[in-house]
Amino acid sequence: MHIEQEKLGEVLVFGVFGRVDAATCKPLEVDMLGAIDGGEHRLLIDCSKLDYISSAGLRIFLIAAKKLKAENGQIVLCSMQPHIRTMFEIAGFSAAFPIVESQDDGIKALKE
Amino acid sequence: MSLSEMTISLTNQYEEIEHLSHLVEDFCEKNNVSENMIYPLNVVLDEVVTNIIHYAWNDKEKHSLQADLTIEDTMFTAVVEDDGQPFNPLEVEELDISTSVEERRIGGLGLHFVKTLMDCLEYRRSGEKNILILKKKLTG
Repeated sequence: MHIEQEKLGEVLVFGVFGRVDAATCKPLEVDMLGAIDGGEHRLLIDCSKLDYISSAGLRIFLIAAKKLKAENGQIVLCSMQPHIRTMFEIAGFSAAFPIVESQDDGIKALKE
Repeated sequence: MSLSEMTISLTNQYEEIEHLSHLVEDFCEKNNVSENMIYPLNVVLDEVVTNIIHYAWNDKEKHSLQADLTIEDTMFTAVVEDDGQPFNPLEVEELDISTSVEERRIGGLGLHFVKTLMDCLEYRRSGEKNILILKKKLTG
């Protein structure tokens, strides 16, 4: 697992690459929650290169969403592979996390 | 009638989970399990083993656990055994996934995946061991 971060205007884009499980999820937790604590309130998670996620990774998204909700922030996910999307649906996260097709759509969703 | 079996031995290290994933994938591919079934089976075994590593032993010692995988015709069965403290995942309260983000509890998602993605779960405590049997009918 590795992460690439890029600031596009007000939006912090997080590209998550590879495999997020109980052994590899810590850097994602530290970076994503650290960014929110540091004042980033518009997060776009690019999942195009996310190949695997278990509940250990999904719990980080839930914690991030809770933190952002308290700050009137927003989190949007984009470019998700179908098998990953299924996990978000089974988790019941689809209602809490807007999932859009592309990074451009994500940026638009975060401006609204 | 076809039968294929594999025994996977692991230690209580989270780093073992990726190794487990590769073994599950190899086993499924060898048995022509369809691509869209492999991911759920992988996640389920990950969740079960992650839970065991997290909760089964209170010391810092090295422990081992075992997963026996079987595909018999179109039935996938995993039998996961550990010698940690008694834990019956079937007694854990169901996660309410309809609650909002603010009210949603953080834990319990792993077992929710296991219960949702498998067709049948059985637990028994046998001597000093937890034995969890997971079954899934293979389709498509």
